[in-house]
Amino acid sequence: MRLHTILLGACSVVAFTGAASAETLTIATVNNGDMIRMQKLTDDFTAQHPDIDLEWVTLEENVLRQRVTTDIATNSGQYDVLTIGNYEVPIWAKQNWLLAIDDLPADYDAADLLPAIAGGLSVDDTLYAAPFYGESAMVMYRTDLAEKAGVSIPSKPKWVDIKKAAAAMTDKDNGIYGICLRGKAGWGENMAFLGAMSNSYGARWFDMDWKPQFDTPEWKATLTDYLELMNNYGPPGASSNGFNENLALFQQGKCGMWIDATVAASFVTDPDESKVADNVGFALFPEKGDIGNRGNWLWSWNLAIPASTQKADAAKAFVAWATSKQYTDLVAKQDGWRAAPPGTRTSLYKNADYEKAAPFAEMTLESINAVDTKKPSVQEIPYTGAQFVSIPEFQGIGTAVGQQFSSALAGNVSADQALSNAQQLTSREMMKAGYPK
Amino acid sequence: MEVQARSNYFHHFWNSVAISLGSTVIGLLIAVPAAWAMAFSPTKRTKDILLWMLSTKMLPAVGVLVPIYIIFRDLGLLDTRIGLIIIMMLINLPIMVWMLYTYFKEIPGEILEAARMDGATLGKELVYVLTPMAIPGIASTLLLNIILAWNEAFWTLNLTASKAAPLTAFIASYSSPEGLFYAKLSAASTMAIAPIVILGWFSQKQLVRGLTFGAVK
Amino acid sequence: MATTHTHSAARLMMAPSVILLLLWMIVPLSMTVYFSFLRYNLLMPGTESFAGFMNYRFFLTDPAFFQAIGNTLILVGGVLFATVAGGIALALLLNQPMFGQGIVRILVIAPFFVMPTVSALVWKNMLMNPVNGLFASLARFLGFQPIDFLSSIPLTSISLIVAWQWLPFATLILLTALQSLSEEQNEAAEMDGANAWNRLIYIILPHMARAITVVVLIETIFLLSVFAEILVTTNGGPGTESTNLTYLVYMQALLQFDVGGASAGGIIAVILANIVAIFLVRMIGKNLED
Repeated sequence: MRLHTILLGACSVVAFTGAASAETLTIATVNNGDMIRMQKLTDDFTAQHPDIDLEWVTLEENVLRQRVTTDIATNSGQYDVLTIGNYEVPIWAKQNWLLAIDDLPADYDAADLLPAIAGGLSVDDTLYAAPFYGESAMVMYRTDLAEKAGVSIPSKPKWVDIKKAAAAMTDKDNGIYGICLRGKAGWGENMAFLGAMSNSYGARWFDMDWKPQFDTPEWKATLTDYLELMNNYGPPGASSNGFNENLALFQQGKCGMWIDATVAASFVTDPDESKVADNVGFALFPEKGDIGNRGNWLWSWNLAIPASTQKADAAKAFVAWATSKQYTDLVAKQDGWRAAPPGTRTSLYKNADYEKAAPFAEMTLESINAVDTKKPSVQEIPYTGAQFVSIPEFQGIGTAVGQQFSSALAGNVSADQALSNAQQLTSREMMKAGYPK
Repeated sequence: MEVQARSNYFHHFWNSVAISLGSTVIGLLIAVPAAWAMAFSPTKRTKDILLWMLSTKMLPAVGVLVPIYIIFRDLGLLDTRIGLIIIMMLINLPIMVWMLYTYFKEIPGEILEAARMDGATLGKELVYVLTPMAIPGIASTLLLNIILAWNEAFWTLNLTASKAAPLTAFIASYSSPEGLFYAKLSAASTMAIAPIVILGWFSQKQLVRGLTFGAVK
Repeated sequence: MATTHTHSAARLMMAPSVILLLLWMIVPLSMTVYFSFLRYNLLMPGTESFAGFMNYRFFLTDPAFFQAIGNTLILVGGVLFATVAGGIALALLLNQPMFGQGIVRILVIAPFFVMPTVSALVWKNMLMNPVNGLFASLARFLGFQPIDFLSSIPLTSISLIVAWQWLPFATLILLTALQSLSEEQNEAAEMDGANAWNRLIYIILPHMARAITVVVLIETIFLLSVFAEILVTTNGGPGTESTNLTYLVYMQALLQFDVGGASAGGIIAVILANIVAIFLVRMIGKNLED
C-alpha cells in the first residue's frame, strides 16, 4: 500500500514536470460549484489550444481575495488569470492593474452580456473583466407554507407584505421560522443584505461630502425593521448565519422565506440537496412604499487578466473560452441546462430549454435588470456601487459596521447604539483615509 | 472519487511532506546544539536568550505579511518549497529549542560528570552517553513540529500559488463554498490529516516507550 | 562543571539559532516599524507618505482596542487554565495501564492533528449551531432551551474550541513529564502512607512544574495570535465581543489592506505580548531554574 502510494506520487511529480514545455497559465479561482465545474470541462479548452496548460489555484472566497490582492498590489505576477468580484474590478482597473478585455473572437458577442453586469465591469466603457456568472437578490419562499398560513406573496412585494407573510408562516414550536436573513458580520455577509435593504429604504452610505449617513431616519428605519423581523420571526443564532448557514436552513425546511442571492435558487430547487425543492416560489427584492428602489444588489464573479502577466494572449484565449456562449452549451450538454452559469448573457434567458429547466430564470433576469450600479441609492451620492460602495476602504468599513449590526441582532446593543457606533467608526476610517478627496 | 478529481492530491501531499519534514529536520540540526548548550552549559543569560527566542514568535503574522511577501518576491522565493521550508523552520525554531531544552534538562548531570571523569571528550560525550538518552526528547520534538508545520495555514496559503502549495491549500479549496458540502469537506480533511495521524500512530509507541527514560534518575 | 572550553563550545553551538532568529526578528520588525510610520495602503499605490504617529493614534483610539486587549487576555487565560487542568487530569489517567491504551492515547491526541479551520467549521456547524447542532438537539431532548453559543457567549465558545485543540499538546507534554517520575519515588511515598491526593500535591505536581511552565509559555505564544477560529466562527462579533488583537490587526491588514495601520497594530501587539511574557516569567519563571 505504501509503495503504491509512493509510486503514484512519483508519477504525478513526473507528469507535473514533464509538461513544462508548453505555456502554462496559472488561474486563481474561487471554490464555488460553477468554478469547480469549469475545471472539469477544461479538456475542451486544451483540445482547442494544445499549446496551453492550465494550473489551478482553487481557494475559499476570503482566502482567494487576500491572496490575489496581495499579489497584484505588490506586482508579483504569480497568476495569469484571476477570479474577482465586481467590487474589485473598477477599483483595480483604475490602478491599471488589469488588462482590458478587448480583441475578443468574433463569435464572443460582447453585446450579448447583460448591460447591468457589463456596466459594473467597465471603466470608461472599456471592459476589464469577463463575467462568469452574475446574481442579484430576490425573495425565495415556501409555497406550501404560504398556502397553509393563508398568505400570498406578490411577485413584486413591498416590505409590509414580507412582514405579514413572515408573521403568518412562523411556527416556532415546529421549528419553522418565517424569515431567514444574513446576520454574520462581514461586508460580503450581513452588509450585503443590509446594504441592499437600506437602498430599498432610500438610505445612502455617504452624502456628497463623504459624510457617513447612519444618523439619518432612513438607516434607522432599515435597522429597526430588520431587527424586528429577525427577533420576532427569525431563527435563533441568526447573528452568526451567513449565506451558507441560511442555505442549509432553507434546504432543511426551517425557513418560510429567505431573501438572498439569486444563485441560491438553483441550490434550493435541486432535489438532490434540498428537501423543499418542489415548493419554492420566487419574488423580486422587496421595496418600501413608493421609494422605487429594489435594493440594487448585484454581484458577479469575473475572470480578469492582471497587467503583470507574461502570457496575455493565452490568458485572453482562456477567458474568452470560459465566458463564451459555447461554454454555456458545453455545460448544458454535460450537466443539463439547470447548471448553466446564470446571470451573464441575454441569450441564455431567450433559450427555451433553459426557461423550462430553470423555474427561477425569469425572476433572476428581472432582478438583475432592475439594478443600476451607477446610482444604487435614490439620493444623491458621490459613489457607484450596489449592495457595496465602490471605494477601497469599503471592505474594512463594511465589516466593522456589520459587526455593530450583528451585535444589535444578538441583542447586545440597541439599534440606536449600533447606528451611532457605526457612524463614529465610519467617520474615523474616512478621516484616516483622507476623505473628502 | 469526487474529491480526488478537483485537484492533484498527491502533488499537495508531497509538498506537505517536503515542507514539514524539511523544515523540521533542518530546524533540529540547528536547534539540538543550541538546546544542548543551554541545558548543559548554562550561563546567566541562558534564560534570557530562551525567552527572547520565544518572543520572536510574538509579531502577529497578519501584521508582517506584506514585508515578508515583498522580501520573498525580491528573492524569488514565492511559491517555492525552499521558501516555505525556511519560513516554517524559522517560526518553529524557538519551539524546538524550548522543547529540546526541557527534555535535555531532565537528563541527570551526574551521568555527564561520570563520563568526564572517565576522560570522555565533548564529542564522545555527545555520541555515546547523551544522544541515546536524548533520542526520545528529539523524537517527540520532531513529531510535534511536523504536526505544527503540517497544519500551518497562514504562511503556507499566502506564500504559495500552485507549485509549492501543500495540503492546507487543498483544504482551503473546500471550506465554506456556496452551500455546505460537508461530505466533501470531511473527505478532503480526512485525506489531509490521515498521513499525520498514521505517523502519530506509529511514532507514539516508540515515543512513549522512550519517554520512560526518567527511571534512570 | 562549566569550563571555558565548554563555554566557548556552547556559544558556537548556539550561534546558528541565535543568528537566524536575530535576522528573522530584525528584518521584518524593522520593515514593520518603518511601514508603521507611513500612510501606506496596498490598494492605493504611489500615495505613500510619512504619517508620523497617525497610524498609532488611530489604532490606540479605536473603540474596539481595549475590548480586544481584554478579549485576548480572557481567551489566553481561559484556554491556559482549561488545557493545563485538563492536561494534568488526562495525563494522570493515561499514565495508568489500561485496555487499549494505544488507541485511547491516539484519540486524545487526535484534535491536534486537525487543521484549525476545519475544526472550527465542524464545531460551528455540527455542534454549536442552535438549530441543527448536536448540542441543541441534546438540550431539546433533555427539555432545555438550546444555548445560542456563538451569539450569546461568543468568547466562551471560541475558548472552548481552542481549548479542545490545545488540550492534546498539554496532555502530551505533561504525560511525558509524568512518565519520567521514578516509580520508586512514587512507591516510597505510597509506603509512607501518603494518599493519592497528597502524592499529587507533594510529588507529582512539583515534578511536573517545569513541564507545566513550558506548556504555559508555548501555548501563550500561540494563543495570543488565535485568528482562524475567530474568522470562521464569529468574524469577531457580535459587535467586537470576540475580537482579539490579532483579529483587529487582520481587519487592518487583509480587509483594508492598510499596511501602515496593520504595521502599527502589529508593533503594539508585540509590545503588549512582551509585557504579558514578562509578567508570566515573573510568576512562573523560577521553575525554569534548577
